[in-house]
Amino acid sequence: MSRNFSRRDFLKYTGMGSAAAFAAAYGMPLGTALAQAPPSDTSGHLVIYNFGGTEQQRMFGNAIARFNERYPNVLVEDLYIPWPEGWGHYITNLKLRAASGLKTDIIAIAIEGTRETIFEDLVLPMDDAIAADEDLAAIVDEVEPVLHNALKGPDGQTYYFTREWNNMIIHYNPVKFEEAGLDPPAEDWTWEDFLETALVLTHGEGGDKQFGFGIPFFNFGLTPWWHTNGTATLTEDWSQSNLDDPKMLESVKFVHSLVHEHGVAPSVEGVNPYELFPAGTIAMTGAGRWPFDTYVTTGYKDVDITPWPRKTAGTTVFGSGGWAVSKTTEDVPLALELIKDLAAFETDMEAVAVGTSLPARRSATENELFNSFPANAHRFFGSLEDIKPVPSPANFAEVESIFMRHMSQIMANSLTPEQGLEMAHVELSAAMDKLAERMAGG
Amino acid sequence: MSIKQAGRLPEISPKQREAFVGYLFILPTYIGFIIFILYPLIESMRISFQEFSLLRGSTYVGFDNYVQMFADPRLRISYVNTVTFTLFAVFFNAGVGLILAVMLNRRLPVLMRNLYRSIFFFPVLIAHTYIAVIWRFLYAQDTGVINYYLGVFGVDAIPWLSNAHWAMAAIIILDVWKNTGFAMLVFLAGLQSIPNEYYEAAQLDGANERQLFFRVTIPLLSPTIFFILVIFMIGALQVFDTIIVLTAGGPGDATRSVVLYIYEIAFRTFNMGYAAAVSMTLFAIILALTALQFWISRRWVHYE
Amino acid sequence: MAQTASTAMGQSKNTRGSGRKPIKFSDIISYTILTIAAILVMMPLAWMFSTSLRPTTESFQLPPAWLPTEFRWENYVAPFESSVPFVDLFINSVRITVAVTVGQLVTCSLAGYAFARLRFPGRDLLFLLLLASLMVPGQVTIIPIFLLMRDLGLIDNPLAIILPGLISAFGVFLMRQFFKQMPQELFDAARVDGAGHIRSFLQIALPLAGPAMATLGIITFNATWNAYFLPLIFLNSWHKMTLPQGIALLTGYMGSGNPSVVMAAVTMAIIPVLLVFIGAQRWIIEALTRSGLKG
Repeated sequence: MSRNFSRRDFLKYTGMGSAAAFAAAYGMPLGTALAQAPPSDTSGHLVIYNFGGTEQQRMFGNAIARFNERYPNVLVEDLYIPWPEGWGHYITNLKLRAASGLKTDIIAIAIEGTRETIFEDLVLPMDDAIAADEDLAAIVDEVEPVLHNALKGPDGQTYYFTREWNNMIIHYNPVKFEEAGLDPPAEDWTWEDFLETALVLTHGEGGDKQFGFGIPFFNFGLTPWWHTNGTATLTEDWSQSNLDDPKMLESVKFVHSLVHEHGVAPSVEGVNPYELFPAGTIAMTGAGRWPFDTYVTTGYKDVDITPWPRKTAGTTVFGSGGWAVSKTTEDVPLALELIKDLAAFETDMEAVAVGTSLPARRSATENELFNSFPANAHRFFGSLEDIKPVPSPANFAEVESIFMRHMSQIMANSLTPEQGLEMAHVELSAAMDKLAERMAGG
Repeated sequence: MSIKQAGRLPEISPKQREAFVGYLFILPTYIGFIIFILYPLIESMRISFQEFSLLRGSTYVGFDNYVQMFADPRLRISYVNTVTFTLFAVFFNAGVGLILAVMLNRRLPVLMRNLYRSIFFFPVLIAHTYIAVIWRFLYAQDTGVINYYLGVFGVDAIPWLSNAHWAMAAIIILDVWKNTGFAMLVFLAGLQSIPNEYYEAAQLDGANERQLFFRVTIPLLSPTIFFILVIFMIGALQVFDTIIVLTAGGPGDATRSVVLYIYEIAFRTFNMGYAAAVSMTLFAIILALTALQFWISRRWVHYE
Repeated sequence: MAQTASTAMGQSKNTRGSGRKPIKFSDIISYTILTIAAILVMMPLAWMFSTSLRPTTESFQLPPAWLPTEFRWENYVAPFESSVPFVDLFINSVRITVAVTVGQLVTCSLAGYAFARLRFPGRDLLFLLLLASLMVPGQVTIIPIFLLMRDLGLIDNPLAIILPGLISAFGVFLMRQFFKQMPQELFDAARVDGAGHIRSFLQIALPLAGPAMATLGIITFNATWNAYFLPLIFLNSWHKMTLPQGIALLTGYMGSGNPSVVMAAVTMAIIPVLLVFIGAQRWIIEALTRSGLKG
């Protein structure tokens, strides 16, 4: 099985050899065709390559049911990958499907994987389709622009329709604050304020030991510390390492000091802050909306949210997910109809109800359900005023693993922040050069 | 069946008949082996000579992927870690397993034996991903169980997962907890299939406990011991699950095994060609070590 | 031959020294060591079980509560109320695991016997070649295997897990070692009685291989039951998934799922393997009691 795939082989394998399918696949004369929705008696078979947890399953299952009301003769197969441990595996599996000619019609992926799927030609550009279809245009219009734009390709084309998103925001325990005689954090609090607060909240010994903060120790969870200092691991255009930025060093040193100098956060290895926070071992941590699902089902109430403390900026980070039409689909219009249901307002309302992630539309949050818990739920969408996506170049998985590998050595004190960042910078620069080469040679 | 066929073909010698039955017996295994193991292995070998891409066409690059290994310091670290882990994990898994099996095979109340055997085997039954939560809670430096109890006795917190040496120790401990029950079970099955007559004969000759153990038990158990050593060595050289759930190779590369590194190259940097080349070398090394074990085994393993 | 064994033999007969001497100091030492070891081994599992029965907020406190503090059996109902079709996944897992285990017991005992007891040209080479397959890290052969399964039309089909699972180099090795360990006199005697190779295998080797078969059975059952990597790649439809995939769905994004419910699901997922193990244990003991008289 020498799978030396040429593009022609690829098309042959994926059953797209015919001229019509080819044209459809490359999106050229699609405009007129798409304006016309397929008749409701259309029959067919659509495959969604999907991910998430149990609540997402239920949510998207309902969207598919709505689609089937409109198209009863279309069989929708919702392939499901449990929470991917890294996007690398998820994407490899997707590529395997494409390489072996298995049909996929709709691809769901998080921002971390969008660039790779665009680069590998797995998804179709959507600008023409959106221009020709009012419903799709409406979906794009209703979604917060910053969310929609983050999923665009490097060419500025839209490939993905926003599915859901999460930011990083401080989760704090109001009861612990009150016990310590602290006011709730101000919306514009600074790193210094944060540290003072965390020091007050750190006390006790042995079984009574309480820490002020639990560091979310993963790439996305650490990013607000860079963004609130006006920097990031990669340059603005995600093309080169930015780890030699003195502000990165400053931020890393601050995170390091939380454990090693001030002792306000437990050592990061082996710690899951989302277990320790409800247990009361830590008084603050950072997350998006995703732990709220568990807070709600376990009846945990002692939590509110507040913006990330700032150094020079109030910028936090977000990650979003999207739906794209797969290049291997045989029926673009039908796939788009399904996306209309998957990305519908109703789905957003369900996202609000289940509490795992934030809906794409602000309008879905303007209700009692969303705003009753936590008390300051409006701060989720409030964060959109000053926010940046998590840097997600096509080699995201590699960037993440290089950075976190060095970061863990810094936190373990086996490298100083200076040494760690310098070594990471060298390695990351080489990886980014390789990516540029790959892009150019693609 | 062979008897019938042999009846029809009287010219077949007993030797040929034995060979025929032998081939017949290994046939089902070999069909599966060729399709699902040998063929993918040969394909992987081809990939190791390519700059491999699933969708964009692969190019043949000769030995480039193999040459690259010599200039890869992370691969070297991974090999050192793997060898360290293997030495300790094989020794303790086999050693503890044998001690437990021998103790369980002594005179014990029946209920106690059955209960303890089940308990020691229990951890084998639970997938690594399921136990990750528990063990991270045990090992966490400031919020973990083990350090809490050490603290009660005034012992300073141990950086179980954030110090390179302690992290390796933590992984070995978890691995022994998880897998030694398997060694115990196999040893126990081996011990119990040693016919009592051997012991009775030795006892008649006036052998004491220790002599029985070293002169009867160990020699007769040697095929089982050999089996456990080979299987645990092969498994340890490919250790993956135990590490990925506990430290994911960290801090830094301190606990990264070769297979963990292969996984990273393949699924994070998408460099399948290089990953395949590293796999092929690892395969060759394990093969050589196993062959060595078989060769040495001729000196100490006694088959009945 | 083996049939001559008497089931009336007390099972303690095949363990040494029983009923001959009074309890010695060394016995006390081994009881103590075994008991301490058993407690240490069980502690993490006790914590897992007690966590599955209480609100998650109480589980990560120090000192840990090893024993149940509450009995919230609703945590055990929760997985079934989630959208994961756990009953389907359970049936899928049983189907795959039983097929693989039975298949391996057949193929491995046949091949193990051949490699241990029969002579044929190329035997040792064929065995080593087979054994070598244990040494290939699965992470890399997955691509060729996926493309192969695609050619066989088995993607998203349980056969993609079952077919490669029907054979096992490990199992062949295990069975070979046990068959090799059997006394040659048994087979010589059978030969004198005029038994062919197949009869020797069926009537002498197999009945004595009970402990080995039970060991292989439980190991294979367990490995297949807990397999995650292969099903993750080959089985992507909700209703074709296996239990570990379902439990992964419960763990939530960044491990934010409810640990109590996850622990409850894990506890339930262990039960079938545990039952098989207990059953196999009994079989090991019985087989040994019968073979206790063999010479």
